[in-house]
Amino acid sequence: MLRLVMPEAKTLRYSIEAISNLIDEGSFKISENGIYMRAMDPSRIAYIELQLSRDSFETIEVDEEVSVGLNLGELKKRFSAAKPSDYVEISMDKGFFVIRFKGKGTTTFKLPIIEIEEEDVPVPNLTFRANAKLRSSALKEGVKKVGIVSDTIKFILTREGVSMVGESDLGEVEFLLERGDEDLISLEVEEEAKASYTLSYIEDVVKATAASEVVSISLNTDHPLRMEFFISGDAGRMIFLLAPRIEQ
Amino acid sequence: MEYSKLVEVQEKLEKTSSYLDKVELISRLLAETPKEEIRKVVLLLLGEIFPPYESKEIGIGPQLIKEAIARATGYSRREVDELMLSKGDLGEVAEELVKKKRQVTLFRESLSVEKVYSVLRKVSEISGEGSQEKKILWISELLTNSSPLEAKYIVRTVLGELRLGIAEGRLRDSISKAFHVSPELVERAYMFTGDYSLVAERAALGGEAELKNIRIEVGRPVSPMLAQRADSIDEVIRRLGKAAFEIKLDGIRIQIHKKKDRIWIFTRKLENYTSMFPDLVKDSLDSIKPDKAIIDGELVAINPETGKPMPFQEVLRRRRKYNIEEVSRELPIQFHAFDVLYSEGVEKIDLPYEERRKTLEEIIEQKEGKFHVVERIISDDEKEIKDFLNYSLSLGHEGLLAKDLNSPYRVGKREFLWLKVKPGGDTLDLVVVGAFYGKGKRAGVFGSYLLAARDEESDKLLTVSKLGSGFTDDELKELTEKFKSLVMKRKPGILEAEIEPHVWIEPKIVFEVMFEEIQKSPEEKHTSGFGLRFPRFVRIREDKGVEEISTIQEIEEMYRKQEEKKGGVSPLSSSS
Repeated sequence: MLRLVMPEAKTLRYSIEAISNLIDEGSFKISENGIYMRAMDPSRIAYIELQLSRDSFETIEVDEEVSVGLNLGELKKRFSAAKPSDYVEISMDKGFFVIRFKGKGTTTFKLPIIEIEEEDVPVPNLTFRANAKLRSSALKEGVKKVGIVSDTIKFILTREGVSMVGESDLGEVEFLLERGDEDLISLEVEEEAKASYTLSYIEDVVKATAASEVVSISLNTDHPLRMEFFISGDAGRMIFLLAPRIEQ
Repeated sequence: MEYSKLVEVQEKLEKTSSYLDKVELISRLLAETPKEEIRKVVLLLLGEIFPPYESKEIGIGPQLIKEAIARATGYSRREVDELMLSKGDLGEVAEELVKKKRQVTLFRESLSVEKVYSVLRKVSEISGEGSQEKKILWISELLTNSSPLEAKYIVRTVLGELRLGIAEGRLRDSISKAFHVSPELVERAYMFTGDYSLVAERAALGGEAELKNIRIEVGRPVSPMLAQRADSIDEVIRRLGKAAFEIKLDGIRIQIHKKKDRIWIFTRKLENYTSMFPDLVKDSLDSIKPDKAIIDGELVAINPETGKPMPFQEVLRRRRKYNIEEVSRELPIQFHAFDVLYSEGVEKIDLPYEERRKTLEEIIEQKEGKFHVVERIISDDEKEIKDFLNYSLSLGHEGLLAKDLNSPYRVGKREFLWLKVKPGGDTLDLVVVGAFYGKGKRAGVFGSYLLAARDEESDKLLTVSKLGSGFTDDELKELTEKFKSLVMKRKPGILEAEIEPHVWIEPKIVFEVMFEEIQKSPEEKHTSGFGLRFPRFVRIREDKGVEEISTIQEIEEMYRKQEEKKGGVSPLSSSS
């Protein structure tokens, strides 16, 4: 027996959108504790972890833990067909992953479950000395503005604020959230940090902001970046680790 | 096995020029390789993914590689292009950019031989929509996990640039040394299978006993028996006595394998050309009577208007332009069988020529204009032979091939059991290594070429001649097009040259060159120490690879004979 119900499709829809550009296939662990997935993109630049605890679901009935391999591009297409406010029911049927949306009528998709080689994904163990918590919408805004000028983005965390900087032949751009800005929820900086990342990865990742109100950003100079998106309070989270670019 | 181990050996091989050191390096690597990985290691050493007879390629060009390098290292395509301009070698570009990569990864997996091999194999099998993007992704994943040196060799393998690196003789000696088996047995096994990776594996598994067990198999090409050159009919009679004289056709050497309703067509280079000649596949099914057989022969192109043979190159050239059915109509081909290696479950190679010929005549149902058994006479009468030679020439063929009546089919061997009788000037098969822009009427195209032969001792290519005559204007234009994609920024590593052409050419295309005489040349001009008098272009030898071009040792021998004939004392013969 496997049946999960979510009152709104948007959480899954936007989390899957954020993941699906980075990896082709994902193996989802589904148990009475919820849905869990982690993966590394093939180029080893990004690590992704998705946790949706049982609190994210209205109903969760799972007899035993299962691993479900799915093509994420296909999964994304199915969820794109749903309205964010649609009611979602997930089940399994003879090798198929069954997704049912209820909104205007009832739509049932059956998606083949695929065999995925279980990859041993190491969890990079990192501690950070600069942390900020901001509204996801502000992160999205900053990324968009940097993208006008540059294809890399530099995050700078100081005691005064968080800034996102872009530089290229076309000039420079800075998006700044000063301490005290209502979009900057908290800022803890033991040691100031700055590091650059390939923008296209960040652009993929920030798609998760549509499912999340708050994001925390952690950083050490020229080290991987950690972003954690909180979904419906504390019911779920998406964690991204992203390897930096080193400017010579 | 770790891929880094293989790559370290490849790097050392590139740095040393000593034959013995190379054999030592390869044999030590082979001896340490787990048996189940030997085939992969040998193929990668040869710069291949598939044995040649599978005729599959990785199918990735420099543009895709540049994209993969850019992605794996965090540099832009423009930066990759710029570095390529200054380095001239994509392998080195990859090495340098991986060394100072901008995009760091979260962690690096060390690459195994298995991983590299399986990814390259997978990449070669990707086809259809979005296949380029997928290929780029896979290669960039490999490069992401590579050390700088690994990146260099992955790129070179993918681009097929390592194929010249290891001469076959060296591999033979290395396998012999690694597994304590005789080099003759290794060579024999190679001649029977065309696949050193298989030979190495068998030697590793069961030594000499296992090598001796290797037999001919339908579907796997066998190295053909080759002919020596005879200067005259007189020489043939002196060497062979009463012999068979077959018409020597000017086409390409083809081996046809048949198993029930399946046909394979292999070239001398052991490449699979089956898909290129659907007409020959059909004719073979119609004419070869046994269920299982291996037939050796020559495939010729026929001018549909005159009915006479024409240069085979026309067929190979046109195949790229038209669809194959059209070509079979416009440029019909004709097969002339002259030997049988295998028939109805029985190997025939150890039988004498005359018995094989009888079997051949029994099992081939000739189809006029399509599938023949080659015409021949048996004689030791000079006049009769000369008449037959003239008959052959009058039909537009090349000359005669004399064969010892008692000789077995000596797989892969070139001995004085088969002898070519050809009037006219001598020819050499030389590889193009450089080109010069033409002047005046030839402005804008390559007007002449720099040619090289292979030195068997050092495995290097040494220059022998410049060549600017024998081309029609159209040929010069076509050749320029052909060579443009082979232009290299720097001298190929395998070549030793003093002459600087306008551009260097990747050594791939083999010219047959006619000449009047071989001359001594100062080494500061031609590094071989020889030069050609009045060289003329005859044709491209599409059926020959760089490994099969004339060797310096052959040229030396021809020079010695030539000087002997003149009655002069050859400085070479006195020293040997």
